Amino acid sequence: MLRCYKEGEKQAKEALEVYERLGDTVGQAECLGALAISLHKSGQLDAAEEVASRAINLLPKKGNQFLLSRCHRSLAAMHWSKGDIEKAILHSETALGIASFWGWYNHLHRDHYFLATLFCTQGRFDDANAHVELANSHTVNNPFELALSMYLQAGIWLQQFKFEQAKSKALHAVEIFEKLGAVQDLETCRQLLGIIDLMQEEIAGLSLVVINSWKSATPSAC
Amino acid sequence: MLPSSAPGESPPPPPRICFGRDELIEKIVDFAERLTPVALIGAGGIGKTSIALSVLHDNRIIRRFGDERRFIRCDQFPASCTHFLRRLSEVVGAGIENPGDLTPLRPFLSSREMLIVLDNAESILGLQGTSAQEVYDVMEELSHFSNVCLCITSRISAVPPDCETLDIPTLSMEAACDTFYRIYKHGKHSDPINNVLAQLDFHPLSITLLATVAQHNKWNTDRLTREWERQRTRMLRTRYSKSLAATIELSLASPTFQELGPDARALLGVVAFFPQGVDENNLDWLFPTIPDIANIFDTFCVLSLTSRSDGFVTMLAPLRDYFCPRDPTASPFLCVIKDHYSRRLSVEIYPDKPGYQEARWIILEDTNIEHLLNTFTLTDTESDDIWDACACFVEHLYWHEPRHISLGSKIEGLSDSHPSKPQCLYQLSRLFQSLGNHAEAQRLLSHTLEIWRERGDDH
Repeated sequence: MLRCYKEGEKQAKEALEVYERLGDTVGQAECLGALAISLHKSGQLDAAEEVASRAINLLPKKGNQFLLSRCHRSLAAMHWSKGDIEKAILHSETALGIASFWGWYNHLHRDHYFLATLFCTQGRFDDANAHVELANSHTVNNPFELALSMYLQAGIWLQQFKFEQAKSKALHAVEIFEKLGAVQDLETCRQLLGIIDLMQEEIAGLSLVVINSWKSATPSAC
Repeated sequence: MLPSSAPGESPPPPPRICFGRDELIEKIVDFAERLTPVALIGAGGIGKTSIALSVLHDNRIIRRFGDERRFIRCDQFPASCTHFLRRLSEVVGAGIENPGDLTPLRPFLSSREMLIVLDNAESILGLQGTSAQEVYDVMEELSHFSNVCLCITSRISAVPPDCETLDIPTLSMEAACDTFYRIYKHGKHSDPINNVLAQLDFHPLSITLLATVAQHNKWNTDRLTREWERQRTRMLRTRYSKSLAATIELSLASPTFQELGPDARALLGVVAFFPQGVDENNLDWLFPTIPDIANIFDTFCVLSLTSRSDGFVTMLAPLRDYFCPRDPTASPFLCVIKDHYSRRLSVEIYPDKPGYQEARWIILEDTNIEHLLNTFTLTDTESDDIWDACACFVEHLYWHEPRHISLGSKIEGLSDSHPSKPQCLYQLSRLFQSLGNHAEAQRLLSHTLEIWRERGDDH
């Protein structure tokens, strides 16, 4: 992302006004959805939640399921930022349910990716691994999402101290990000690689200290 | 070689070297030892004759059949059943001068074990009418003799049903290099040469011709690759009338091909044009004016001019190069196909809309469509239709198969006043966004907005 949230907010409001003049409620919901993301990213969490909920209310009961799922995805992210994990999971699962029902495989990736990230931060590694695998299964024909899944998997394994596996995944992700010109993700992934190396060294150093102290504590054979 | 003691004719000598065919030869020798009739099927120049001759001179075959190893080139006598029978009698040494049918030859053919190779059998299998039936019947009966092993080499796959059919593949990379460097001595192994060999799909005749031409002209590697870029398959002809064109034209001259009508060659041009070939499920839709189009495409396969791969009718690279229209935009078939695909691309895609899942067809045909659009945008720069189709194509990729495309620079190079430019840029921006290249996405989107605003079209 370019992180131009203020500009995003301004443009979303501008577009919203145009759609209001035209009386296009779906267009308005689209803009509110985009506005909610900008507000969320700039830290205006309550405003973001209010705007996303407004978008959902604007949508007709039937149709527009795609937009609806996007709004739920945004709400999930907002609740997570606010620390309400249960609500975050609930909204994410709602978005996932819609995407599953309609067979939107590329959006299924996003929802599983979100849940995997969330569970990872909660230390629920089994759940995180399960979702990252599901996310990965929906990356056919989408190299960027494949690389994202690899990056996340590397992050999960890092937290589980599986350094070699984590490194191999992260390197693979770097290769894909490089090819795609996904500069920001490439940078993030390289940082992750740096952390993996650092932790590996730390653990190795720590092990050496433990071994040496054990050796000095062990009585000599002779 | 010692002169043959048995009447009849000895086979020609084996090829000096036949790289990368050991397993296949072994398999055919096994069939021959069990007296199982076998047919080697494949495109012209794929190496069927070399394999058959290698089999004839294999030690196990020599031990088993001795002098009764016979080789008949079916393209060296007038194509008729009468001439075929006469030649058969001469080669096997039956001593019957003009057999009217197989009857007078039966006692001789039944009297000993023999291996008979019918080389280039497409010359007689490709006949039309009653003559074709007669030839086919003779071949079928020959395949029934329990003491005769019949080995047919043919471009036409319509061989007697008792034959074990082996489709002869192209060479491996290693065998292709061995074949090339056995002839070409003016350069060392190099990646550019490997690349040219790969572009020839490792087709044996093409490789042999390329090596021969380069060797005769004493070209070094650089010159060779330059000439390849300049001339492509047109350079595959030696001073002694051997050429890829002659081999291909032989297939086109066959009665079976001729019977397909005047459009057949142009249809091959369409197959050749598309890098992935033509999706078999789309034949009726792509060629609505051609009756019985499926039969025509089947015949192309029967004649080994095309092959099937994952639902696509495709062609070996040297044949593609030969058949591909020099100016594809002048091909009436391709113009119609371009219009068909433009219409197909024009559906609205959004996950909530009915056409969303159907639009996944792009995953199968993306390379073809990109090539088609690339070609037509070269000449049709002012047309709105082709550029609208480009925008739709990029949108299809955005939703179903995000990837980099070669059309990007062309879209950017389009004049800002072109009606389709902002839509093309907008879709391209989304595509970059979906690939994580946000800076590029932003740059393109800003350009799009600028154009829309200039046009007062910013709602």
